[in-house]
Amino acid sequence: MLKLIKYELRKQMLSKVIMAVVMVLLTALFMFVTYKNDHRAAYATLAVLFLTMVIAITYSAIEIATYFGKDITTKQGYMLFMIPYGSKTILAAKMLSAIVQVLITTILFGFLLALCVSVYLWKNYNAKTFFEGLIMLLEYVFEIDIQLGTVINTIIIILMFWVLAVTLSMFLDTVSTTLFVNRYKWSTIVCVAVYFLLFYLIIQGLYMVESIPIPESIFNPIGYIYMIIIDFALFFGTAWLMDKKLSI
Amino acid sequence: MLECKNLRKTYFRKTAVDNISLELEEGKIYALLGPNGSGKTTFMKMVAGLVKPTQGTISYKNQQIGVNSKKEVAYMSTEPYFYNYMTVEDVGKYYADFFEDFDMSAYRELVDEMELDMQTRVNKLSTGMMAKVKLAATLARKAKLYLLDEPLNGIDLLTREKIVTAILKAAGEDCTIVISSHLVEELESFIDGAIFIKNGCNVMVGDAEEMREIQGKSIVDMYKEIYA
Amino acid sequence: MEYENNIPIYLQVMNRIKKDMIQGKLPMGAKLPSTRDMAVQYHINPNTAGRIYKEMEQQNMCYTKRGLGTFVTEDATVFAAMKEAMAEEVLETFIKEMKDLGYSKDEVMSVIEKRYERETD
Repeated sequence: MLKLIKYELRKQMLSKVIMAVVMVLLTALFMFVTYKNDHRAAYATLAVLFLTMVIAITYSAIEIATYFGKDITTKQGYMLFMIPYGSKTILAAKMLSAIVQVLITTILFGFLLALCVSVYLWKNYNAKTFFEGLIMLLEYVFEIDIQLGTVINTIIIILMFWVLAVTLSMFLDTVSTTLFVNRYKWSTIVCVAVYFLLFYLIIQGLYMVESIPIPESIFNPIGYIYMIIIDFALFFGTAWLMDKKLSI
Repeated sequence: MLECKNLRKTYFRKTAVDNISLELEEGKIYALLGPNGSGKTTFMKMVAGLVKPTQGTISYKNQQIGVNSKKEVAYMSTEPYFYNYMTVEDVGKYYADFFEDFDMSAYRELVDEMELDMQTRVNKLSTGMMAKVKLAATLARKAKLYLLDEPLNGIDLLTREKIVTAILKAAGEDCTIVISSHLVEELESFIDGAIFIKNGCNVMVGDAEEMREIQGKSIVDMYKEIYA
Repeated sequence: MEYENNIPIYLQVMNRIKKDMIQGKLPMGAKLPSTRDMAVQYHINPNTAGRIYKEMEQQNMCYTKRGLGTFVTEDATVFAAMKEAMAEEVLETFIKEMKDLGYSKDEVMSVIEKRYERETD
């Protein structure tokens, strides 16, 4: 499976390199404006850096969905489906390579952010701890209250939504290629509409599930469990369709 | 080693394969013959696992087509399919990564024979060169069942000789080769059997030498009879 | 090598090899190519090549030494018999064809004499 992941990453290498270059350039810009004591520009550059990361992660999801679409509808798919791997393994490899890409993006961002903040603090203040400085910076720029637990919770939720977005798109892609190609071709607008509709319905389900009263506890896992079940259902559904119905 | 019963594949408006039932034996070389659109490619793709049958069964060594059969079945399609960023060498590495029976040094030899450069990007190859790379990659595998779809198409005469030589070198008692082609005359001298497909059905399966001995007819003669 | 349409391939290749042997291209005791090399050389199936060697061995035209290969027979009588058998075939066809054309035995003999005289000139 590792080799599959390797090739999935290789396919999307170009966009990752571009993203990395842009982020490094922004960091260099930050260094420059910090040196020039242009505080507003410094905050703006950091905001743009953050925005770049968000765009990169969003784009990764779109790219994965696009490549998957190509794999199941064009001859390029032969590369994936001639090799002796089952659909579940192939899908899992795609998912894992997707997560790896998100990790690379966020770690790079984290590293560059740490670099920027350190340089800023060194230039403008005396030896405050890094975290104090970081929180101060974030609170100033984004005007929000930071607590570690909330941060981690937010990250996990974002990751889950991201995984859902990718899994749902691969599922719908497979459905339209296998079950509907004989009856009527879905136009792009219909596809996008169905996608957002299903996404919305799943989130509604999440709210319903979360409102079920459970005994008092610090940590309410029911939302996570629901999302995981949905993700697995979509995953296995996609794999089953690929195995039984997919013809390239 | 390969058995198909009442194989059928329909698409929205057309029937690509109507009814194919046949049995292939180990160690033989078969020609898959028939005009364009008769279902040869669809048949091969079903055996390769790329197309799922609408009806009927295929079994490879008494197993369903799947992960295990893909380990031993090598399919060479007519269309190009490599990833755009790859070089000729990358194609070899890909095959080496996923197929245990792939022999990298055999691949290098074949690429050399066909006068290709390992460092060329695949999206810079002409149709003829692409065909050679596909062939080299497929034949460098020590597969048990080779499915070659029109391997001689668009290839110049001298290279065709090299390709036939490569095929004959790959042939043996433990593998089966199915070659689909229009160029019946080129295949005539070395095939064991011929599978004639007409309108998605297999009209007949003939043993080449038997047809000569008993009926005094060559494959070319049979072809003209069946499709006239 | 070009093949005729209505004769089994293995027979055609065997005849060619027999001819090569009689003409001295494959002298007694010479090493014959492997089945794979023969397949490539004559554009035939390796199975067919194997079958040919088997048939030839049965007719004592060649023998196999384990691990070393297949060799042309060193038995001169076999060569002579082969030569005779092949000549016999040619004669049979020749005589039949000439008969079909209406030549009598004496006419055939004189035509042959004249032809050979021309060849020695």
